[in-house]
Amino acid sequence: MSAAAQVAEPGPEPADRPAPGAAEPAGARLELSDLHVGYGGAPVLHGVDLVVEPGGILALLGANGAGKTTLLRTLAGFVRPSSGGIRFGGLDLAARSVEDRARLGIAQVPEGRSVVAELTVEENLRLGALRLPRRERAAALAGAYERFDALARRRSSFGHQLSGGERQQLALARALVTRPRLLVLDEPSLGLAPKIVAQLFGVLRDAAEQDGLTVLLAEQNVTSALSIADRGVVLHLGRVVADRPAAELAADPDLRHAYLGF
Amino acid sequence: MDRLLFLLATGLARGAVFALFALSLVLIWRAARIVNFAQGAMAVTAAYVAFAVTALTGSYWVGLASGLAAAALLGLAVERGVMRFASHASPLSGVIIAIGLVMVLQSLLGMLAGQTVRPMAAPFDESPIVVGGVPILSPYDAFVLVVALAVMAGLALLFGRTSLGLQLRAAAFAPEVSRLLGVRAARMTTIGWMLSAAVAALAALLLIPTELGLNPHSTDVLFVYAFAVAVVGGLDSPAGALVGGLVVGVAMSLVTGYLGATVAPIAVLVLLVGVLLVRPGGIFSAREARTA
Repeated sequence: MSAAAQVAEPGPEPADRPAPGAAEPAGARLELSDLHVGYGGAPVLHGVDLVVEPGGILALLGANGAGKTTLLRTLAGFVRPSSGGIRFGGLDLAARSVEDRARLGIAQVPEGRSVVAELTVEENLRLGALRLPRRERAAALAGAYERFDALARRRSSFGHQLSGGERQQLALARALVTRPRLLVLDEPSLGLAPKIVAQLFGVLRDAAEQDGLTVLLAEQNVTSALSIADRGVVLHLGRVVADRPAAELAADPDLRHAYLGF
Repeated sequence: MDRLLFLLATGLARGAVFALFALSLVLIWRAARIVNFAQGAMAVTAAYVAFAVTALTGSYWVGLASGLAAAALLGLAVERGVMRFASHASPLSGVIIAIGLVMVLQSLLGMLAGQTVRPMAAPFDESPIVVGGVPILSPYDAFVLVVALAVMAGLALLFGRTSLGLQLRAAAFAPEVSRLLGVRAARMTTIGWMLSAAVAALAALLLIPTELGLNPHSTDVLFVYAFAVAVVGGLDSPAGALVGGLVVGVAMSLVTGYLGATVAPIAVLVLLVGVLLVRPGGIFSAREARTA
């Protein structure tokens, strides 16, 4: 197969994941093995191996151009790997479309506060709740408003009327409303005030600890990311150069200096 | 005064049809960011199906239902067979494909049915009802007005109150984000095309019996007016299509009534130019985004 990444074609229709409340772990294991991805013949990821255990937070670290966003877009299904495997909750994701992966319980918050600007806060959250049983949707929205009271006050505002912090809160709230088994975030702290970052990361920590959610957090804000993560993986020019407990990574000045720039 | 009332009433009925057709253009624009120049040709193709089925069954209503179903199927075929492959990098590619479709459809219709204008029967009387000595609307005009407004209300409910409507809007505005939430954005685009084609066909079928007659080019003028309406209202705005349609319909009716039918198209173009000069995005054009 060519090394060039291709846009993934829709895969076969999967059975939706078990209904919330059924006997299943909240989080699920994600395993990337020997993943190679490139664009138009230019390789970006070179044999990435990575495991996120259920209920854990894994911080994916690396400078610009390290391949973090490519890895996340591959995981989402927007980019097809040239070789290697992605397994989630024991299922091979290779033939699954973007939509199917979402329906299996992978929620992504892409970089750039990706709310639907033309919809209201309430509609954005309803969109996230669409895959839930009808009777559970109202409770899911109520939970989101409880977590983010700023959103409760602005439920009728359109996405384009929100501040940057509110948009990121909405993007995270909407992802959590889907009741995911794996939450994937790309640079959620980018351009936000420290107070908002602390709130967002506190919500992530709670979701992992209390609800058993699996979180993959791609961040350049290394200190904040490692402060809530169980493990950290450093990506450099498309290769994993470190995969260690978060506390160990935070305490390794040589590694930080060599690959993370501080 | 009597004449003014009559012109206003018929203008509203005609404007509601313009609004309906403009709404169909807005639906596709919002779903696929394509101005579908083939909308008129697709609608008139569906009208031929309605005409044939009515002739076969003797029922206007069966013909109408068949025409709408044919339009939805044509919308599906055009989206799945052609438009899906248009490059999204350039809006011109969709426009060129649409213009090509116009030529293909109109040529095929010409070959199969000829260029003769065929009369289509209306299901209700077309002579105005006189109230207190003043001619107001004909029963058919009243039917057109009610159907057009009911369909617009139905679309407002669909988009504003249902899960399908929410997914249609989300997929149109932010397809990538929608897909990440499990919304089958490509399917939503197809549904948008089917819905839009059916709405346009309905508008054409409402106007053909009284104003357009049926030939392969029947809807050319309707498309031009509806396009003007959509641009005047704002291509992104269903409310703009409704208000713009009614304004253009009434304006055309008044200009036709007082200045003559030949002046009406000029009046529409003057309105279009005036709006574009003052508000290039249309009267109801979309919001400005907060940047901080």
